[in-house]
Order: sequence, then C-alpha cells, then structure tokens
Amino acid sequence: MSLWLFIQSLIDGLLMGGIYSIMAIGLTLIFGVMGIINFAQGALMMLGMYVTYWAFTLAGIDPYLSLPLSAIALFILGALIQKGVLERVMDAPDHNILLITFGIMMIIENTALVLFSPDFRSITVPWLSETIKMGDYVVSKPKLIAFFISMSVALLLYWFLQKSYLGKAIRGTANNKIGAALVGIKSKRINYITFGLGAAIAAIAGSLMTPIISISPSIGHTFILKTFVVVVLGGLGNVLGAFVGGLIIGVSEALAGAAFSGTLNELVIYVIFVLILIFRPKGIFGGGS
Amino acid sequence: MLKVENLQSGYGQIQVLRDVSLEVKEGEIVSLLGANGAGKTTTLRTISGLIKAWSGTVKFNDVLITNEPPDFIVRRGLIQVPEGRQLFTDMTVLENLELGAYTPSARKNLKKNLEYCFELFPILKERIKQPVGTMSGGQQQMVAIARGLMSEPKLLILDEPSIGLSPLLTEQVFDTIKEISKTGISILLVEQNVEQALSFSDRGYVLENGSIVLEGTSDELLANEDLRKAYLGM
Repeated sequence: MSLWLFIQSLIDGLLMGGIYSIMAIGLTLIFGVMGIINFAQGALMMLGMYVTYWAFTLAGIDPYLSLPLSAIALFILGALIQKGVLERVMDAPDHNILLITFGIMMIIENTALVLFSPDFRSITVPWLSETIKMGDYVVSKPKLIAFFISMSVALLLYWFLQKSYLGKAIRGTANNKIGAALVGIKSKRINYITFGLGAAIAAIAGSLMTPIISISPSIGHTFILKTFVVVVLGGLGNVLGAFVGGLIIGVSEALAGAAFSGTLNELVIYVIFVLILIFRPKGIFGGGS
Repeated sequence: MLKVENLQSGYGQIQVLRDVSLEVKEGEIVSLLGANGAGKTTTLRTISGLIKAWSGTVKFNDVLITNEPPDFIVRRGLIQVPEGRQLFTDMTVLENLELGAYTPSARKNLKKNLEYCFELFPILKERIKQPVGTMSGGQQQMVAIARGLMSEPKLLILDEPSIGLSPLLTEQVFDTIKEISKTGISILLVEQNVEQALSFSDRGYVLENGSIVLEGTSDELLANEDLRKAYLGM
C-alpha cells in the first residue's frame, strides 16, 4: 500500500468513524443506564434517514436543516417505546428483553417496507456533490460535515452527562439503581429520557448518512452489527470507550479495504470483534460509565 | 411519625417478615436489633418501597406509604442510608451529595445543606472532587450519611452504619448520628452492635426470624436476661 493510499484511507476511515462513534454512544448509553441491548437502534437510525429523505424530496428541505426534526421525532418515538413497551418488561430476564427489542426492530422495518417500499433511494444535494481537495487528498463534503456534527453531538452529550443535573441523575442511575431510588430519582423518567436520547442520536447518525449512501428499510442491519462491535470494543456501557471505539473501527475498516479487496474489510471488523471477545471481553477500556 | 403495622414481605416465594410492627416517634432515636438474616434490612427495604409489602401498612406522618414508589417516600422526608451504602462510586463526592438533593424541596437548599455536611464531615470538603469508589470505608460511610442529609430527612434510617469500621471510626459515626438527632431529625438505627446501639437510643426492637420478639426502652432491653444471653454473651 502506498503512503498516499494509506493516508487517504485513514482520512476516509476517521470521517466514517465519527458516525460509528455516535451510533455506539446511543447504544452504550441505553445499556449503561437500563441494561438493555437495543437491537432496534439500527432501525431507529433508518427512520432518521427517511425523515431527512422525505423532507428533502417532498419539501426541498436541506438535509442538515431536517436534522433537528429527525432528532426530535425519534426522541419522542424512543421515549414512547420505552414508556409503552420496555418499561413493562424491565424486570424480565435479559434474553427476553433482547427478543423484545429484536421484535421492535422487525416491526419498525416491516412498517417501513410497507410504507416506503424496499427500493433503494438516495438524494442528490447539489452543493454537497463536489469534493474538497486538500493537497493530494480528496475529502467528500457530506462525510466531512457528518464527522464534525458527530463530534459536536458527542461533545454536547458528554457535557450534558457531566455538568447538567439531569445528566448527573442519568449517570447516577447507571452507576447504582438502589442508590438512585433512595435519593428520589424516578427511574421510569430517567429510562424514557435515556431511550429517547439514544434514539435521537441514532436518528442524527441516520440523517447525516442520508446524503452519503443509498437508503432502504433494511439499511439498519449493517450499522447495528458494526455498532455492536464498537460497543464491545469500547466496553459495554462506556460512553468514552464507544467514542474512541467508533473511530478505531472506522479507520480499521478503511485501511482493511485499501489493503485487501473491498469485500474483505467487513471480515476484518468481525475478526477484530471475535478477538476482543476472546482476549478483552470487557473491552479495551473496561465497562462502566 | 413512622408507624409500621403487621408488615409481611419477602423475596419471590420466600417470606421474610411476619407481622412486624414498630413505631418511631418525633425526635426519637430507635434501634432495630437482631442477628444476621433476622430481617432487619428487609424491613427497611419494605419501608422505603424498594420491595413490595405482601400485607400490612406503613404510615409516615399519617400518610399511607405502603407500596408507594421510593421517590414518593423520599419526597415525604423518609430517607434511608442503606446497607452497603449504595453510593455512586464512579462519581465524585460533590456529585453524590448533589444527587442527594434530588427532590425539588431539597434542591432549593442545596448550598446551605452542603455547608452543613462539610461542617459535620470536614474531610469531605477536602475530597470534593475525589471519586467515591476510591475512598476508604469510613469516608464512604460519611458520604453515605451526608448524601442522606442532603435529602432533608425528617426521619433518617441508617442500616448498619458501623459495619466494617474500626472501633474509633464507629464511635465517631455514632457521635455524628447523635449530633444529627439533636437538630430534630428522628433516627431509626439498624445495628448488630447491640450494646453500642442501645446505649445511645431511646427505645429498641429485637427482630428474630422475621418477627419482633422484644421491645422496650433501651434500659429495659439492656436489663433483659434473654437479650443479654443472646446478644451480649452475658
């Protein structure tokens, strides 16, 4: 591999890694607070993509302007899923809850299939179509924007969890459920806010991806699997780990794609996944918040 | 102020408490005594709403709180410093205390109560930024009590505050509890350390196999032959 290809792949990988990071942060946040592994995270991301797609196609709204709309819509849906479905089964064994989130994923995807058809769709935004040249290297505009917005979302969330009172209550609930109950924190409220936040972050990731790839109702699958790899790499429930893990997986994928043929990059990611599970089952940064 | 009548509860199919009745009056220090597995912690968990009562009632200041959610009970001023402390170990001392003031009424007085806690435990002011999980057992117990005080308790329930502490630290913790009680906060103290607990409380209850087997003023209990034999080895 030439140096040029190496650096170019590094740039591409890092930019995509930003998206993986926030997807993983959403998933790991929900796990950290509630112990739920949310299989529907990819499907929620897909819905965020369609919000942006339809806003652009039907009303000509710029994809970045529909971002707040997509986030708010999915926050509400996420909160409703938690309140209406998951809250009723919080005491059930883990594998039951896993099956339920899997079921929620199937319902969302199949509803999307009926409403939107299985066609692959994409949007062409004129001002995003040209690439940016930085010396010998080329950077795609929507990927660069996606990266910066992802980083901002991650920072904003970090600030929220560290500094705001509600954020501290969320961390407290993740840290010790009995302690949280005994200071008067309403766990149900924290749970639906957290699930809503997780869904909103997935929606933002989806909206940011819409100008980059073709979307379809089953697009969430590839993302949810990669997100699991990132979350395990960073340590389940570890927000900072998810952030760094996303960048690592993005870069690994791009470098593997450049070094081997294009189809082998997925293989490399899952080999990493298996290796982590064998040698560092708690992730490179360990679990916890 | 706290009135528990004929309380029955347990875990899953297993009954732990059988007809537990006890009372804490305004301004009192009351001890709940008993050996390991007698049901002391289960009693407290049921009172605080962490586990469901099967039957019986818990009244706090004449409000029925049986099987209400924990946050409802906390907002009424019934605060528990639980077994194992249940602190937010990944978070700092200050963050733990801030979360202690979660209820709207306590949040208003957060600054004032923080000052009071630092007066009571000066060491915590020095360690304000330290993650609680890295502190010693004695310091963690201080954080636990301080977090409870941040909630502005009318009744403070303490589950074995002396567990794992050296005799010197135990004495300090008991002195602090006495000081807290002087500010008008009622105390329900759960202890295995029978002599120490009774020596500083007004009344006591003895729990055995999930039932109250003895009750009385501390002097009566200390003079009781059976109790002396069973718990003091005399």
